[in-house]
Amino acid sequence: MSGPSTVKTDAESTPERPLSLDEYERYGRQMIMPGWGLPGQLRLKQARVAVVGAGGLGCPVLQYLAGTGVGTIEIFDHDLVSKSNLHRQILHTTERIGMSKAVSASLAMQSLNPNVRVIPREEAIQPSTALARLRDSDIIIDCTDRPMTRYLLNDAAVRLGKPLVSGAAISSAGQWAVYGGSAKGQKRACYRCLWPALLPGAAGRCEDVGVWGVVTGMVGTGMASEVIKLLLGNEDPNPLLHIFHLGGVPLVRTIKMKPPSPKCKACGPDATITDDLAEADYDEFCEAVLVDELTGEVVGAPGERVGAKDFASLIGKGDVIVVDTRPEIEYGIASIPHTLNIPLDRILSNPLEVPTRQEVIFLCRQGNDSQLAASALRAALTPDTPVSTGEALADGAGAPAAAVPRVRDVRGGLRAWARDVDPSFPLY
Amino acid sequence: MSARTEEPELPSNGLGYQPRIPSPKPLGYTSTPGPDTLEIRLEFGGGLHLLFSQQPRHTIHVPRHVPSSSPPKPSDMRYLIRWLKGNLLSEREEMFGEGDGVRPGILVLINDADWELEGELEYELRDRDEVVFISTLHGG
Repeated sequence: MSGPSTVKTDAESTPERPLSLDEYERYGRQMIMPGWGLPGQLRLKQARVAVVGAGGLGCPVLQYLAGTGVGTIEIFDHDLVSKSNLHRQILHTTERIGMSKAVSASLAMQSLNPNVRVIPREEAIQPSTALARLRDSDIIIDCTDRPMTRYLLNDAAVRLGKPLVSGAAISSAGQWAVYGGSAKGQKRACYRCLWPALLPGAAGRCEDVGVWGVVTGMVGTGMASEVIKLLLGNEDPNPLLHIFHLGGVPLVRTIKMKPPSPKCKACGPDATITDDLAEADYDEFCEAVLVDELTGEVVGAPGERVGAKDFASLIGKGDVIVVDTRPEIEYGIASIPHTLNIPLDRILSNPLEVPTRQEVIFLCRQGNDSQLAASALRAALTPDTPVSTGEALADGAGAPAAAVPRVRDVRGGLRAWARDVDPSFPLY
Repeated sequence: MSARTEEPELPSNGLGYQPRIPSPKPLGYTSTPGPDTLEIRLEFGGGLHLLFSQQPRHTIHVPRHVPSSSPPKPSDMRYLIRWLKGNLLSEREEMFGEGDGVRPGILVLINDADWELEGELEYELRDRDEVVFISTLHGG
């Protein structure tokens, strides 16, 4: 061959020889494995999978799926590569910091294996788009990092009748499994069957808690193995959940999963979740999980958050101060008038830096950081007394009588603002 | 979170939890093995170890029969959970228990099988059973 990555036209596949010569050579080491062979390789080549998230889990998943020759791989990720990703998101490179993760991953994959078709999608899967975006895939692979998308992808997989390979990793622990679909004619439990409710405090994020790069790597590699086994028709006959801990003996604990739950909201006989996923309130379902790790108090309890439309009527009032917690550069890209920019890290290191009036409302891009800021300020203002749940104030009728300001944040942040109030607001 | 910086300096093995340290004191129960006790191995995952003295693994000895039950009732998962709340849970009971059982969102495994396959609260404990409590993770 004249060059290492050249696929000569005279080496293309034919009906009699269904792979190109490049592919026979490239996949030879796996094709000679028992249970694989040419038929198995063709099943991989004909498959189409959707990988949601090209981060810590997505990178090893995408890398191995591309290497092994999965025919069409669609990548959904709206995020950009940042330096703090690189210790674990090993498809991205230092040169590609700032590039779309979906595009960056696809570059690495095409360089590894030009035979596979990679489709980068620079967007997040949303309740309103999930079914349409995922309909054409044989398997949905959840490499995301937050509860909302995990439940959304599960519900979409259930509605579409497709298996979901879902994994998670944080700190030095991880877990992965195949959910939904069926194994040898037996329906598998879905993600909601196994995890019907979120545990307060379980929403730790890698940004906050930390994570070993090798831990996301091992979990992602385990997930890729499940995908390949599914595509080869060689999946575990009894559904299994794998739990991994870097300090554990054994390193991976594999447990038998229960059958589908008859009470499941997504896949049970009395399921309440329908094809109209936009109707399922993921924000509300997931809100309960943000807990201050020190106090155990729920962050952003009902009444402590305000919807974008209600928020619109409060801006500019004399007794209300609105603090935008995004980084300065993002604030410089687009901001709402009558807001004050104090980045989250400054608020967290010194919450009392925030000038308070009768009411303080925090705003960020998506409604996550604003909750942390609100929680920090509440704790700083009332270190010795329980934080008001805001129940009594939830109607928004009156200002709090006490000297302690009321602290709230905007649910959904600027995304909700652009969606519900000002469609001309530039989302970036 | 800002709270993290205020945590006291503790020795860490770098794996996200504290290395095994000697149990500070007997907590009103005997952990001595004997003919009337069952040895149960416990593991807490997905962050639940934070509620149990920061230790992911414990070996405990519980009475073979529910105390002062008449006729003697073999110890079951219902009793084990009550026992955990009274003897081993170091903080925030509401984060672990709900009613007789555990909060939804905590997966309970008995000898590597989902406890729903084993009878849940009614499962009768056997010597050297391994019971694992884990919560789901979301990072990635």
